[in-house]
Amino acid sequence: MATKAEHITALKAKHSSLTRVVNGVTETLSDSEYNATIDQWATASAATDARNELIANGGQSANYASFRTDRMIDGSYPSVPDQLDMLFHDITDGKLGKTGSWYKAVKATKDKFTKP
Amino acid sequence: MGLTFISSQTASSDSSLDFTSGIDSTYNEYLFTIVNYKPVTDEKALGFQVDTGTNTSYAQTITSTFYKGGHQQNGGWSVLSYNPDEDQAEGIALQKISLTGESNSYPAMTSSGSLTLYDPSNSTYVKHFTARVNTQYTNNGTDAQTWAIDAHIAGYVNTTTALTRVRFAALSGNILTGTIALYGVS
Repeated sequence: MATKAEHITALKAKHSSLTRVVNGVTETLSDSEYNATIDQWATASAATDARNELIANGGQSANYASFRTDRMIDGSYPSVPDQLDMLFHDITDGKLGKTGSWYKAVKATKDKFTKP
Repeated sequence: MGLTFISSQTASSDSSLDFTSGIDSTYNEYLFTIVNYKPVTDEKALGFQVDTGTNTSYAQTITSTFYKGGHQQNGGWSVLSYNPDEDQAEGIALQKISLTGESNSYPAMTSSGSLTLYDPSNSTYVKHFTARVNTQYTNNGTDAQTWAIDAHIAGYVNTTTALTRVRFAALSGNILTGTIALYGVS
């Protein structure tokens, strides 16, 4: 995971100058605008890195509830139909306690994305 | 509803697309259509900000909401969820209006949609906006890792000063391609 400073160095190496289009006309950013844009990009990239690190390895997050429930995130809760199926099999197998598949699946998500 | 074309711009590895003319009291609504936005850098969604007068900081105060519906390309699952990472509570950052995956590994991935700005010249009320942008979102281009993501964004710019300019930019890195057109709605 790169730091913001590392992102700034990499972005400046990649972009010696930057352009924008204003009302159809391409302009080159001034030095101050260039530095401000690079800083903004580095801040965003560092935030993305931190989020991806959390998704990959879990951890504390103020947004833990959305990490747990967003099904595009690895390690989020199983779908409701899948959870109901787990409960059906747990009841069939007499495993409604902590050894059941539903409890283990939900606990895994809660353990991965924890409340601060 | 009638649409009057005002202007159009296309990015080609540019840091932003700025509309600094054509937004005034002529219309109560202004519609921006976004066609095939694609960032240079992976995972960098499209955002917008606004400004007043001839200012160029593009850091107006925004309160917004962001939720999405999605469906996997292979039909495996669907999703409907709120995205607390993408909204703002009196924030001044670019307001994210799309989602984007690892685009460079899947060149076809793009986002298209629209942003509507309501009564930007009003001097009494805050300025409302709504946006809806669909993204072909992918991690690696496989059916199992590709989704249609329909993002719904809304909010207000918390100022009673007239808005005169709108900037579109990737959250980080240049915009590789994308055409944005501005229309007045009457």
